Order: sequence, then C-alpha cells, then structure tokens
Amino acid sequence: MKLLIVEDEAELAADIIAYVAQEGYRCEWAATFSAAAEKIVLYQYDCVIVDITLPGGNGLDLVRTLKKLDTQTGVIIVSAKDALTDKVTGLQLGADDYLTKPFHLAELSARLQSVVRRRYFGGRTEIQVRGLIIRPDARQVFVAGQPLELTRKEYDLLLFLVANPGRILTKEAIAEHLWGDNMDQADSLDIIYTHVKNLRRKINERGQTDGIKSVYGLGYKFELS
Amino acid sequence: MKLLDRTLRTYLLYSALVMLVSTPVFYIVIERLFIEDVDEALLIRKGDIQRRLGEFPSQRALMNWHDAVGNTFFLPIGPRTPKQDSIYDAEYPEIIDPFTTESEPFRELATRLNYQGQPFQLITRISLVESEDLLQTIVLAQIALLALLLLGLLWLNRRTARKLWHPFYETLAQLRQYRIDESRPLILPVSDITEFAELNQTISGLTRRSHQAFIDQKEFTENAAHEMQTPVAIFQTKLERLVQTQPLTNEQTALLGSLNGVTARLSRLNKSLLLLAGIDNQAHADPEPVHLTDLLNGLIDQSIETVIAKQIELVRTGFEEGVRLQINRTLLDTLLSNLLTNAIRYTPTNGRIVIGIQPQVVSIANTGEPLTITQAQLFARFGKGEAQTGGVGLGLAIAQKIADTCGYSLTYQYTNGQHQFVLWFG
Repeated sequence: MKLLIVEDEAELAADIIAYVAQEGYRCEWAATFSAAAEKIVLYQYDCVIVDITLPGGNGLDLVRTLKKLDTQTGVIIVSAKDALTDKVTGLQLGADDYLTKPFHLAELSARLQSVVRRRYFGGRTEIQVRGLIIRPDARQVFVAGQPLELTRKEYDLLLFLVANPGRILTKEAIAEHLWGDNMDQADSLDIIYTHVKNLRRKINERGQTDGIKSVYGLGYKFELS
Repeated sequence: MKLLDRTLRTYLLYSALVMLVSTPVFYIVIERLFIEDVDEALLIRKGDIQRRLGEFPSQRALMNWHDAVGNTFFLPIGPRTPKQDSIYDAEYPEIIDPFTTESEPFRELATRLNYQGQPFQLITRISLVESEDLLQTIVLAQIALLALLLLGLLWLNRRTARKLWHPFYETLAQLRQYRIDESRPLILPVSDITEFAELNQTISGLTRRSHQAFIDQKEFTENAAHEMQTPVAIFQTKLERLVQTQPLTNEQTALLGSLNGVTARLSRLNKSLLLLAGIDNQAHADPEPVHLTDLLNGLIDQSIETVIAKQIELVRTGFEEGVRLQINRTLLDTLLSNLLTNAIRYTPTNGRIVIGIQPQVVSIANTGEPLTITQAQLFARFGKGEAQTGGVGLGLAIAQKIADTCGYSLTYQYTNGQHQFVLWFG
C-alpha cells in the first residue's frame, strides 16, 4: 500500500509517517500544494492524507483534482480549519473521511485501514487474528465459526484494538474513538474498563485467549501473538 | 409615559385651567356690558318721556298713563322717592299661567319729573330675561369655540409631534433589533432635524465600532485557537509515539498517563473554542428537516453507558409525537448533546433525568443540588460550579451561543430539586 501525506508541518508529517510505516504502508510526503498536485498527477496512491491549509493552496482543491482524475485513491482530510463547514464540503467532494487536528495516530491508523478496506475490497474483507474472524462490512465477529455477540461499543473497541496491534492505545484515544468529543473523561475511563472486561470475558468464554493487555496507567494493548 | 403624552398632558392641563378661569370672567364682563347698555336705554327713555311731558292734558291723565306692558308709569312722590336718577335691580312676578308665577329680573329706573311745576315719580324698567338668554347663548358659543380651538390645537400638536418624533422611534426600533454579531450594518433613517441626525450619526458610529471590536475579538479567538491546533496536534502525536517506546519505567508511565489526560483536555478545550468562534459562520447554513425524537435517541445512545453506570433513571416524554424541525443539524446536535452531557454529568448516582419533547420545545431536567453559582455564571464561558468534573466549562456557553445565533431561547430554572433547561424553537 502506498500513501501520500500532504502536510506542511514537518514534525506532524514525520509522526504520521513513522506510525503508519509500522503497519506496512509505504509513505511519501509532500509539504506544499504544488508538490502534492504534481505527485497525485504523476503517481498512483492507494490513499492520500491531506491537510486543508497548505502553503500555496487549499487541500480541498487537491481532493477535487483527485476526483477528476477518477482514481480509486482514498482520501482522508486532516484539517485545522473550521471543522464543521469544511467537513461537509470535504465529504461532499468525495473524501472518505475527515479528522480534525489534534487527532490520535491510532485513530488515523484505524480510519486509514477502514478506507483501504472499503476502497479495495469493497468492504468484503475478513480480518483474521488470534482465532477471531472479523467481518467489518457486516460488523460481525466469529470465533471458531460461531458468531460472537458483541455490543456496538464492544465491537468498535475490538476493531480499534485490532487496527493497532502491538501498540499501546491510550484511554484518551479509546474514549475519543468510541464517543467522539462528547464524553467526559472521568466517566469514560470506568466505562472503557467495563467494556474491555466484558469483551475479554466473551472471547475467553469461547476458549480463545483475547490478547488484550492492560497497560497500567496508560491504556490497553492488543498483542497479535 | 411617552414623551408625546407628557407634553400633551401639560398642554391639556393649562388649557383646562384657562377655560375654567376664563368662562366666569367672560360671563361677568359680558353681563356688565349688557347692564350698562340697559341702563343707558332707561336714561334715554326717561329723556324721551321728559321731552314729551307737555303732551299730557292733565295731571290725572299723567297718573293714569302707562306703556303697553306696564313697565313705565308715574307715581306720586313718596317718602322713599329718590332725589336723583336711581337705577337698580328689581324682580317682579310674572304670570306664566293662572297657577304659576315666576319672578323675573328687571333693571328699574326711579326718578323725579316735574309736570306743571309739580314733581312726580317716574318708574320705568326693562326686563333682563331676553338679555340673559342672549348672554347665555353668547357664553356657550364662546365656550364651544374655545373648546374647538383647544381640541384642534391638541390634535395638530399631536400630529406634528408624532411626525417630528418619527425618526426617533424609527431609530429606537432599529436599535432594538440590532445585534452586535450580525454583519448587517445598522441603517438609520436620514433626518433633517439636527438633533436626530446627530443622534443617528453617533449611534451608527458607536455600533460600527462595537461591531468591529466584536469581529476583532472573534477573529482573535478563532486565530488563536487555530494557531494552537497544530502545536497541540504535534504534541499529541509525539506523546503517542513516546508512549510506544520501550521500556518504560513506572515513573515514566505515570507521567505519560497524566500527560495524556492533560493533552486530551487541552485538545477538547481547543476544539470547543474553535466551535464557539465558528458558530456564527454557519448558523444559517444548510437547514434540513430534523426528526427530534431520532436525534435525541441517538444522543442518549451515545451516553447510555454513563447513564447505566450511574444508575440514573432516564424518562422520555413526548418522544412519540414525531416533531420535525427545519434546522441546521450539526448545530442542534451540538446544542442538545451539550445539554444532555451536562445533565448526565451533574446528576448524582441514582438520580433522574427527564427529557421532554413538545412541538417547538425540548426540555431536559435532572435532579441535583441547587447551583452554587448564579444563573449568569452558569451560561458564562469557563463558569464552573463547585462540583469538579472533567468538563472544560464551555458546554453551556456553546449551547447558549448556538441558541442565540439560531434565534431559539434557552432558559434555566431550578424547581423541586430539579435543574431544568428549556429550549424554545421559533
């Protein structure tokens, strides 16, 4: 998978690249509008992560160009601009997703995988991990061929963990993933704990080890093996 | 009291006073004139009779003579006969019919005349009845005229005053509708009256400066929040990468955990500030039909875990009504979500939340201790009560701001141990 990161902040771009590179993506970086415009015309990318405010132009115009080129390229907008209006415009232009700065790298990674699944596998893909089969298109999980009954939040939590294997997911990142900005931190931490506990119990009851580790004081971690 | 009525009242009082005083004065003056006139007539009559005394053939004929109505006649000299001409008021009964007599006022002249060297007393009188009638009519007519003049003046004065003050009321109406956050400038009527023209000029200048100050402040907030976004974003991503580094000592883990919490709060604060600053820009953009029941159910689902965890009894009323509104969905979503989050946050364990939908009204009530802050502080930015929570203190300020911008009204009251927020649409 080949990605283009269009981001004028070198530090932020470096973080994104470092994080997603571990997922096996090859990343290219464009810091300016013209550099990005040149790259998207010349090369083929699987997904473009684009900032709206760029030196030399508006990221939304890059999205327009991409859509005109009629490529399969997925688009995730990462913006520091007025979230509400740009979000609507961005999604109307055909962007797959929209993230407002600041965001968690784990969140970006999960969204990226979701976009790639939708774009390149028509959503019909299975994630096989630790004896679990996850079908994101149907929001179903199977253990040994049998469906596992999960609540919506438990499912979202599992997918988020699976999307970031071997990494510590902070409680804050999980809370934001599950509830957006609406949730109170104080409340959410207890509830996350309850969800994790229930999720692990449900998987363990089916005779699988869940691979979810609690990292004291920080959050949780999903081990692939 | 209106300015117009105040000036008119003074006029009215003065006019009434003038009428009250002038009527009797007027009456007396006219009456005196009449009496003088009658007295003169009596003296002329006396002169006439004196000149024609020679026409009487004898003293006897003189004594028997009287005029047609018996108002002029001669009498012999008596002890009370005045020496000179004497004119005085007198009243004589007048027979109206056989059973009624009325006393009638007269002006009477008693004087001495010499006939063939012998003095006689002449009595002659003129009835005042007709002149009194005339006098009354004149006074009445005068009063009517005065009243007409007065009413006419009042009416004219009112009309011109209203016309004169019209620009003032226009300005007032414009000012009442003026909102500092509206980009539309205040357009005041042009007036050729210096005072109003100056007033309008001053107000225009004032509102223009206020609006500019408001815009500057808003832009500053917006820019500051925007400028903060990228550093916060970099900080958060670096922190996230730092968390992944191995190995971490317990001390480092604890520090990173605290940093995560603080960063999340900083990030939420930043997003809230941006939202607050950006509400105006999209208040009137993209209205769409919103099904209140669905929207609220969705929001409740988002927070249902907390509701369950705190064992809060959640009551929904009017959800079956199917109320629909033509509205900007994102803003309404944010507004109601903030109210709901607030209610859940401040409801004690085992408390109760009642969410009600009525046409044009949504109410969210929750049990809890009374406020430790004032109502104004409740909606103020960063106005938090004693109860310490993870909130950044902008939720209700944002809710209020959205309500204001969209023309809804958001009110709060505390009754029967319940905090109640009521949102009126329209």
